[in-house]
Amino acid sequence: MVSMGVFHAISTEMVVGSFAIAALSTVICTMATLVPTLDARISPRLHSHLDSAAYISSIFGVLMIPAAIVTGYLTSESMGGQSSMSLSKMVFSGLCIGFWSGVISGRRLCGYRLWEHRGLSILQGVSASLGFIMTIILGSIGGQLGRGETALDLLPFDLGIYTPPSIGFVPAFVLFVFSVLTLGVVLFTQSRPIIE
Amino acid sequence: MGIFHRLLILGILACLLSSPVMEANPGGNGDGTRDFACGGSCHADPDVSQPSSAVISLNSDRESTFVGGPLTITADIYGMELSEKRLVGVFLTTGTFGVDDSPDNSGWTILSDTNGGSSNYVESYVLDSDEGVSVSWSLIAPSVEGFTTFHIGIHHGGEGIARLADTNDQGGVLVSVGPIPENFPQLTDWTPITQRGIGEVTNIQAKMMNVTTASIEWKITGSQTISSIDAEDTPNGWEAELPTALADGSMEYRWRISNSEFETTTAWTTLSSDSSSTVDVNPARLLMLALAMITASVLISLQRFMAEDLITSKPQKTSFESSKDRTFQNTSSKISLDDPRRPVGWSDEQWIHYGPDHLASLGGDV
Repeated sequence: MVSMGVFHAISTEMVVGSFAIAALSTVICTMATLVPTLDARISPRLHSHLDSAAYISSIFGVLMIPAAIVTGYLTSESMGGQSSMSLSKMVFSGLCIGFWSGVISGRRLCGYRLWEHRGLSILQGVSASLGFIMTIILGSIGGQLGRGETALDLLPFDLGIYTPPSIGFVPAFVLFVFSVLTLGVVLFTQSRPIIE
Repeated sequence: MGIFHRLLILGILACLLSSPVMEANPGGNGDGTRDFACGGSCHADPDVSQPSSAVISLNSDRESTFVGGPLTITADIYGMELSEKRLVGVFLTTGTFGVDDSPDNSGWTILSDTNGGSSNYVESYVLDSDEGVSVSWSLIAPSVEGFTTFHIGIHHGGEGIARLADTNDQGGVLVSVGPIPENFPQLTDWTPITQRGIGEVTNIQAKMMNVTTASIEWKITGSQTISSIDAEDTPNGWEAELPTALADGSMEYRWRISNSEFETTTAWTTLSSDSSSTVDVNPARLLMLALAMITASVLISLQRFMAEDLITSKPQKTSFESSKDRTFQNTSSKISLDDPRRPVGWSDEQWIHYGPDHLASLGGDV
């Protein structure tokens, strides 16, 4: 019988692979916008392909995140239940979903013309980079949980990512309500520009 | 937003919310006071089990103790087959004959086990068979003098069948229980703390007799570095404060007590810190959703604000046109298909693509 850990490995590898492609492609497109000499060296066809790769792979990665979370939860159950590192994973998963949702939203809003605007390009590049850093952190916590070690152990300092933030139910619920309201205000009251 | 997109988002959110409420059987029977063969009724009945490949190393912190005195038994186990659950059950027994072999039947009291309980049977998850698992018990000797032989037994799965092993062939560890020396320093009233929450201050308190100085020695489980904290003599007994735990894990501590004639220690007591047992998972779940929505809100807001500039400006690029297509279009507007200089036999496509170069080689204009 195939254990749940195998399915978790499959789903996480698809998430990490997708986000790696998305982050790399987005950063190259951002650099092409900011550095004219680089833009001149990248053909319009390649630029268009990088843009498409970033868009499609980020959507695929976000769609695979729930599968990774569910299989990860079932794996942790079979390995003795939730630990503090599992709680850290939840928190960083939230940030990861948020950043990558922002990347998809930006590309969907502006289309290919996104790369004509320096500010939007920078925002897109920063969002993708932070999203990928969150993905790396999630993988690192998973490594600590599964094998007791991670490549981030090579860093000369402690990232403090294995200790979950201490927050009670009431503050967390207030923050949740605030975030729902914030998202509602942004989506339904802020005008959505139509980009041709 | 179409109905498909709304259903998709609802589906993703449902997956995120439903994952924590799903239940899975973690396996095992849980820690408890059990005989090695569980009365012959559990899966590790010798008649239906295979031998384990585990290597068991059994040690005690002293060879003799006194009536009511301390003892620490430690077992290092590695090399076992592992099941999908990777669960290994370890017994501390005073025999290997299957029934009435838990230490309490011989008058011993288990103060703490390696999981922070007081059971002779504990379950541990083993990630790597080569690294194995280390298990320890802190005990109090019985009220009668004599000799006791301690054994370790293990139950686990592996390669589709139940497996078991014990230290019967090694002979176990023999411990003698003698009389209490006169004026010997002792703890008269102490209930060890074996579990605490993360961030909690842990105050250890005990009443003692024949004691002039006392301290708490502690170490992180698995570490050899021992630290010491001096205890204070208060009206409520001797008191010392252990360092606060900042994450999951366990530490071991013991009293070191002395007077002018004797110095002794208690057995190592395991103190576990587990956030999952004291912290509700729901706040972390809400925090995850809140962070996702706030991050996305900020980014979407910034994008909509900055995208206003794109409405007023004209498109600089016609998006997905390839460089080749663009060349094709540009040249097609400059070269005429009816040009008399077009070589015989050239197709329209060849003429559009290679025509400008051909005209340039002839020295003419397009």
